[in-house]
Amino acid sequence: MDKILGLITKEIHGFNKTLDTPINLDKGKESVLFGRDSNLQSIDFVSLIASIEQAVSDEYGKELSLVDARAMSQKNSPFRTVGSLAEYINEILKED
Amino acid sequence: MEDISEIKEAITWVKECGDEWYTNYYISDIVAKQWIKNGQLKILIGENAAFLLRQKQSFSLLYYFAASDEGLFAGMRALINETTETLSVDVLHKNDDDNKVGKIFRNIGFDKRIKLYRMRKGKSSISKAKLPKVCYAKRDDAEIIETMLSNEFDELCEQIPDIDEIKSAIDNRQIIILEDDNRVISFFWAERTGKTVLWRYWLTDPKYRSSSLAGLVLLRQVMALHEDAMQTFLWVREDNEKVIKAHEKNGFTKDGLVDDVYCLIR
Repeated sequence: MDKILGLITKEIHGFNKTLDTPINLDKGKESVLFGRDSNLQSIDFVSLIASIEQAVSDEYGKELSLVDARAMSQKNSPFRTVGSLAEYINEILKED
Repeated sequence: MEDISEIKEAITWVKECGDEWYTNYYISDIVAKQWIKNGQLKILIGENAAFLLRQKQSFSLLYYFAASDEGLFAGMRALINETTETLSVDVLHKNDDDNKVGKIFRNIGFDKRIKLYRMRKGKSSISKAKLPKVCYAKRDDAEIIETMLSNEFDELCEQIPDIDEIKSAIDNRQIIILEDDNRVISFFWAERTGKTVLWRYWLTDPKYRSSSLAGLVLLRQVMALHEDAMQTFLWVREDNEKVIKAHEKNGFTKDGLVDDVYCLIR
């Protein structure tokens, strides 16, 4: 999990350089990523998710897609915080 | 105008007037016939040029045909004297060329309103994720799609399609949607011609943009639907740097074609 968190955080740091309002990572795992309390717009979210998918795929040698029917159907979005996203990725990797 | 043959005859006649060719008319016969049927098209013949005016609610879109820059200039001056409505014209050109046509329109009194870049991506690999089932728009969704487009885009210069065009796209299964409470909250309009796809519009209701996966899901669905396409194009406003960068991250590059939109507001 720590490894996954590290990958996500690294991608966000890189991505923040392109944003007018960077994603605030001060709250660690509880840092808001995407959702009602987020400043991230859809178009930025698309790019960020793609880069996280690529980073995780490169690290674990497995193709990964985070946006699927399961993600849509979840009551609480797995993308709402850095921590929830890491947990979600961890689940997917374990299943494969 | 009564018949599409009038356009073809005008084109033939103009081409005989000179050695060059200036036009911004790239409309398919099917679309043009619909406009004629709806009574939206007017043709004007100048000395060495011809023009089509497509009437929208509060302005007209201008299409030109000319065999010389002098012919275009003279024809436009005469047209402005004969018409009173606000006019909008797209001038397509390569980014690095000396845009003669743009200069003509500026000299006659048009102002440049926006510039759009065309971006292109080659064949993409897509993930094999199990996406939600694709939901195609139905005719009943046309009005809400039209409203979403009108709320988002500049009618004068971004060629917002009218309801008939939207319905035709729906009939041709070009528009996919996501709904919340039986209401369209996001749609993606992708037009396929052979092995080429044009992403026309990709829009999510502003209330859902920061909280819904809708936009991203639709994007992935469109990519899956067209995974055999050899290339994808889209147009993006020059002033929308964030969107340009996002598309670049997703493999698109500017391909050199530019659309300058000029308007004469009256």
